[in-house]
Amino acid sequence: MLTIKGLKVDIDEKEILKGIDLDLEDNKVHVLMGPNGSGKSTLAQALMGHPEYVVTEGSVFLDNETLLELSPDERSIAGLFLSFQYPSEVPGVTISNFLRMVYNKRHEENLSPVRFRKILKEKMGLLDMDESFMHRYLNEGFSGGEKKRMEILQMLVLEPKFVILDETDSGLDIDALQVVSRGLNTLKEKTGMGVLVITHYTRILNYVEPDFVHVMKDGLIVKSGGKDLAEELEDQGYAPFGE
Amino acid sequence: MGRKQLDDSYVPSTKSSNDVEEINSNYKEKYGFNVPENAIFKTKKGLDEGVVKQISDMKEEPSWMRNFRLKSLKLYEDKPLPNWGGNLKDIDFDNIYYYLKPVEEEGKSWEDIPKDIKDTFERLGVPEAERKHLAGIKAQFDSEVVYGSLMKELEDDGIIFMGTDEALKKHPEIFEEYFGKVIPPHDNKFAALNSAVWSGGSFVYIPKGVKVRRPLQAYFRINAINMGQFERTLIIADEGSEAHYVEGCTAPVYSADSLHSAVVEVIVKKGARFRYTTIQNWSNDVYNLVTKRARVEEDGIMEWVDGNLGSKLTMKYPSCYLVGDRAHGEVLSIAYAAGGQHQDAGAKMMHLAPNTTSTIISKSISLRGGRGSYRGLVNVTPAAVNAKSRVECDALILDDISRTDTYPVMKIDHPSANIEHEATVSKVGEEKMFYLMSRGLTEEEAMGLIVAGFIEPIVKELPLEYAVELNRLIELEMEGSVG
Amino acid sequence: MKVKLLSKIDKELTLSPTEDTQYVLVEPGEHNISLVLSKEGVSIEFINLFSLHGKEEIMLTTQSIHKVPNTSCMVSIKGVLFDSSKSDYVGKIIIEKKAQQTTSFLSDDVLNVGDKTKNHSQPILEIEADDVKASHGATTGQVNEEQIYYLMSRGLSREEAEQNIISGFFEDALLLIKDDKIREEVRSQINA
Repeated sequence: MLTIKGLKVDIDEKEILKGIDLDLEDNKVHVLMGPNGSGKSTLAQALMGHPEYVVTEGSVFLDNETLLELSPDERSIAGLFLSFQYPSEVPGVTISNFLRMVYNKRHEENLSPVRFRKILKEKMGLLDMDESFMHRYLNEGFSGGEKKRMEILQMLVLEPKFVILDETDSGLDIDALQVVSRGLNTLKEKTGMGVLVITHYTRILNYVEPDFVHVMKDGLIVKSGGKDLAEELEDQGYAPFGE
Repeated sequence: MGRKQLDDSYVPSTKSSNDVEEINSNYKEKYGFNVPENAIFKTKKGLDEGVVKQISDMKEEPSWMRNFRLKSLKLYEDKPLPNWGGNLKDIDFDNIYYYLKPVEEEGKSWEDIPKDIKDTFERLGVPEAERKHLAGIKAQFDSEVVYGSLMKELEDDGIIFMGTDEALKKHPEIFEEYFGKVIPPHDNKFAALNSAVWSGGSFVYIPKGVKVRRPLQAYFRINAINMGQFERTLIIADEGSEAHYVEGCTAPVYSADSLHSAVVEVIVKKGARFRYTTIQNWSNDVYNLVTKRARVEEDGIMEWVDGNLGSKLTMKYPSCYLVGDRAHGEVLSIAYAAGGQHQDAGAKMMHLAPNTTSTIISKSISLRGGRGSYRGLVNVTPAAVNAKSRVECDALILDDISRTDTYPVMKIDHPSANIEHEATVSKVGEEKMFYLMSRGLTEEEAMGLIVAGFIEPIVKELPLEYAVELNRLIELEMEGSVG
Repeated sequence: MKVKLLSKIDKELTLSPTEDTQYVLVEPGEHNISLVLSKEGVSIEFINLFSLHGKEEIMLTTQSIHKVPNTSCMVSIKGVLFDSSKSDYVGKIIIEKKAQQTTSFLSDDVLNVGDKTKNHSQPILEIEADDVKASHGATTGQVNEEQIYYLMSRGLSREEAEQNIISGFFEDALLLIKDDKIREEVRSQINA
């Protein structure tokens, strides 16, 4: 479970998040929506520990572990995963090499390349990804959709305790969206992990069943509800929240 | 020549050590490397005609070589030090022994070697057989047994592969025909020096049409470590032949000598293909000034793969003189400059005939106050119709006390030439670091991965063992380079 | 951004603007130009276009010197060499230690149309700060025969085709000029 209390975050000395409270339980899907500039991505990056984002107040716990004092890699090892909105390209580093490295670290194992490739093939199959991807360099020359799929593949390899998807659905066509959702749902069923989906559109909610929906505006959560809140937003947009 | 994928054997280490930085410094103290005075022969300190004559006499050389040395000495004395490149002012030329010949190899026993040195070898995966040699211990294995069968294979194909001194005696005709023709002594001050006092090095002759399957290396991974300061290498790849020569070692190598000035001459004849790979990791008090040049004839291909990791100052610009139609030259170079190091490396391509092509790819990394420089020349002369050349030099600068420079020159004297040159300088981006760390990698591991990825295009051209060692070395170097 | 067309300038010239400025140079001859970034936040663009005929020569040295943080400099050199003309260009980018967050680019492209042209190019980088983006590119080449053939197949004569391609070559550099009047003046000078 990911618990966020009174979280305030600055970027360049400007306050973006003005006090966020969220209880994100295991096995549940929380959705965070809001107009552009509301602070959704800021929350995602601040939770992962981006160096430019300064937390001025508040606390974050993953199960019983306090996260805010940990470096990004320590947060990852603690079980947090963020699917980036704009994943970085790392030239010269092959995907299979990289994934084996992070897999071995996370699961405290020492799998050989051959054994790991078997596992990787299986997970790639779940996402309809061609095997040849394994040998490509991390995100280099990938289309937006390919990058997002790569993020989900990394999630499948790491099997985190809590997953944040930062606008993973943007730039994906229906097929890709279905595949990505399938990956997410399968893993959630297997491990009971908690999920926070950050999105601007309701499209993804056709494939990933939400349990709770929150609306963010100007750095604060202005409304929380169930699935029907999402339907409301689809009909009325963000206008009722004074956009 | 075969591209190797790193995938299968790259196992990143997750251990941490603070000792690495010490390994490449304080070598003398750590080892207490000391060869007893009476175990070696050496000429007196400094250089003059007497010393040169002594060298030639000791080697029992023919008079033409003796005269060649003496003429070269004159040229060396007349030429000034170059006023570009690295700082050569601290070399005390009068305080060097220009010729050393170990009579017997004395040394310590394996047990006396410090643990962290042994650990480095372990972590770099240096083969058992070589560790003792690297540590300066008397050879405790029989080189005949290990390398004997390899040598027989080469002999059967008519390949000549021996020390340069030996070759002068055994193959005088070939020697006289090619020696000093690609790099004449008047070429530059250090070529003149080498021509006067050269000793050791390899001589390779590949007969017409012979394609050598294995890289010519095993022999040299051991012998190269004990090599002298003024090696002279001469390689002839006869028409239609193909071979790959590899030398050097990624493990830091202690050298008693502070000045290394080697000369490598390669002749690639019609339709032949030759690749020369060097990985250099001399200890941090060595000046490494090398002249390497290949003459490439019609339809010939020459590839220099150059890894510069060590030494205090390296000045090295492998070059290709493309003298025949459709000749092709290539240089792939990695330079790694940490604190106190200056790697001034690059390449030269001279297009002297029609339809010639060249490629230069240089990757340099500077950290902890090191300085990595690229110095290059692409010269298309008026005779070189339809020349094509591509140069890519990228530099990664890891902190704000390090430095990188690029000095490429393009002299294009024929309008039909097609030349492309690109250079970029970057630092490891914060976003990239954050992204990798968010997957569980520590700062050092993330940095190591990015640096490894940066040099990947060249590393994949190295023979597998070198590639693996090189990647591990980078990992080791990264630890302690962050924060 | 201010745009200045440099004309009848001294052989040695130092330009150190305090606001964003774009400089355009079209004159051939010998020039040594220093672009000094000594005020934070300033950005300089330097565009040199030339079209040399007969035995005309251009000897140009530019130095982009970044002394303080957060500046940017873009140098674009583009030229066409006809007949036996020559171009000799040295382009330095120097980023001093304090000049973090610098962005500096240099590009040097030469099109050889004449049959006795000579082109020397030395793009140099001397970098002492690490948080920078710096790159340079240089190309030298001929008019593409494929393109000529294509244009001729649409009815253009060889000369017309060549002229078209050469104009096209300059076009993206011309579009960089942020002042319409100056751009047109340069365009007519180049195509003369």
